[in-house]
Amino acid sequence: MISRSGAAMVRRSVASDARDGEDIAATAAIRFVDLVDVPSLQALLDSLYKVIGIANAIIDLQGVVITQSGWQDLCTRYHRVNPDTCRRCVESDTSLADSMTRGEHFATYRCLNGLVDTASPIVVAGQHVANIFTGQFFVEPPDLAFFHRQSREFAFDEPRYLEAVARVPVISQERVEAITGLYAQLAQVLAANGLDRLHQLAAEQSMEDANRGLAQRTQQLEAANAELEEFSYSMSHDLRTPLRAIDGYSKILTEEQGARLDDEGKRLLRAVSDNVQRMGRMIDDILRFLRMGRRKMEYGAIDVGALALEAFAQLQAAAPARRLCLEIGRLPAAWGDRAMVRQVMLDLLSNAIKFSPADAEAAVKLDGMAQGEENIYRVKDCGVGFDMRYVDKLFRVFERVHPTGQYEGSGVGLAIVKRIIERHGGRVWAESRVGEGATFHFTLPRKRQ
Amino acid sequence: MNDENNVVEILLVEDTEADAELTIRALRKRGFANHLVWVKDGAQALDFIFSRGEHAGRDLADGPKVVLLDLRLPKVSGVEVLRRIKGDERTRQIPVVVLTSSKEEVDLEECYKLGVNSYISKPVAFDEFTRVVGELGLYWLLINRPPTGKPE
Repeated sequence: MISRSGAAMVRRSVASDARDGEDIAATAAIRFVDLVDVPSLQALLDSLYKVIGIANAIIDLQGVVITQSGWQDLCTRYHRVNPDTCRRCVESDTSLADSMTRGEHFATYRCLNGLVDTASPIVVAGQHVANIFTGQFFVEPPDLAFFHRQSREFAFDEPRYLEAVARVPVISQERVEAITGLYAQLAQVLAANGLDRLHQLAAEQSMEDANRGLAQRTQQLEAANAELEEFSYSMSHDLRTPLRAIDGYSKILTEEQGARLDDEGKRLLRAVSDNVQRMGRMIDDILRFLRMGRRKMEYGAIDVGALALEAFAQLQAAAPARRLCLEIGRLPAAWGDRAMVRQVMLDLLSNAIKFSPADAEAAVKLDGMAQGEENIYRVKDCGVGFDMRYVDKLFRVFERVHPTGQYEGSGVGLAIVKRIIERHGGRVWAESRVGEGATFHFTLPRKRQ
Repeated sequence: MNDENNVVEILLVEDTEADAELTIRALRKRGFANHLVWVKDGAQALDFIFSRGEHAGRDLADGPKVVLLDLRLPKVSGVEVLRRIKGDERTRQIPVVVLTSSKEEVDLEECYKLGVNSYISKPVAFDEFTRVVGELGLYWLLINRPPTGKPE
């Protein structure tokens, strides 16, 4: 007996190894049931049967009936029930299926039980996956003598059997061809749909694989990055000890043996000392930078103006001789880690002052506005500015736009700014023209409700 | 009254020789290094403080008056040394100043939890280092006199 049990099998199995169309064709077993929505296909074929009046079925190459409509009682109640006539049915099915396997696009067959069947192949990605059958009709009025014999031979209930024979439609050869043509076309449409679906499944699968791969890779990179940061941190930290010793011993040398050194000797010792200081600042800055990535963030509402004044007062205290002026415009309150945002202010203001002419008043403007889901803040100075060609270097650790020595600092301040702002989920960027000052912008997301 | 010569004012616990030498020089400049003992690991520090091992027989009343303690030490860690000093009735009142290059928040919190008296992170610059160490000696030895009450 032909069974439908295969129809409900788990889908996806076909597409799991497939990456694209070519590979799909090369995949060993495409299962038609994986490509179609069986209930809607069944509904479509039921409708076709109602209009056309001829039984149909889609049967895969393993003999699993995927859909069937309008099968004749003659077949379902008699021929396919009796083991002997059923063997003939299977022979007929097999013969038709074989002609499909041989690559024919259409076959018609008079079954051994006296009815006519036709078949068309369903081909997906060049692979023959199923056949669509129609049949269980006569092209000429039935040979009643044959069915009488048949009834006796297989001990069918003769009157009822003959009634079933009478219900089998008689259809002209012409109409058979037209109907079969329709089914053949339908088979092609189904095949095309199936192929699309297969491609879609493959694309979904490869997208899923890619996403999974990406997530895994991201995780690995994050872990590697954390490890690297940890390493940088301990290394920077440990470098301070010998550095302190170098500085200490060169100072002692100056103090205790200085009298024996000539001017050049003293100059060389000073150079040692100066470079130790520089390296010390670099290490401190790098530790500060790394600490900003490790620090646990404590969110709260921030009065940015008050924070800026605080930072500004600190900077003025550190450079009492300089004339500094901070102009604060409209400023929306921020939501973030106060100490970290304070660091941002300190670095941006210090930067603005550093690159303003030392002999004139350093005027810095700060303002901000709400835009969409975030606040944008601006720090504008009237300093030397920078060449926009180097804007990418600005926010990188130890990268400097101006030569070392010209302006103090190790080139970590803006990297710290970027790190803090990005940890808040914001962005930072800068605009400038040489000699016309610079404007630094940063955004902070507003509090999520 | 103890013999003045036996009194140890400062116990320096420091494994890095250069740091120890520089610290001692800085203290000497301010005149604080006359009664200083230097040990190189946490185990020696505990032996000294609790009069054990090679320091057995030493009178606990002879000090030290202040302990300068590095945190990263061989054998017994600085944090553990601190824990033992602050966990013992006889030594609890000895001021302990953690003197380390570590600014790790975890260490800091741990030290304060254990009752550290001061926490100084060693600056890289020697002048600054000298100043900090000198002030440290001045503060703990001259200004901040610990309660003198010995156990009756």
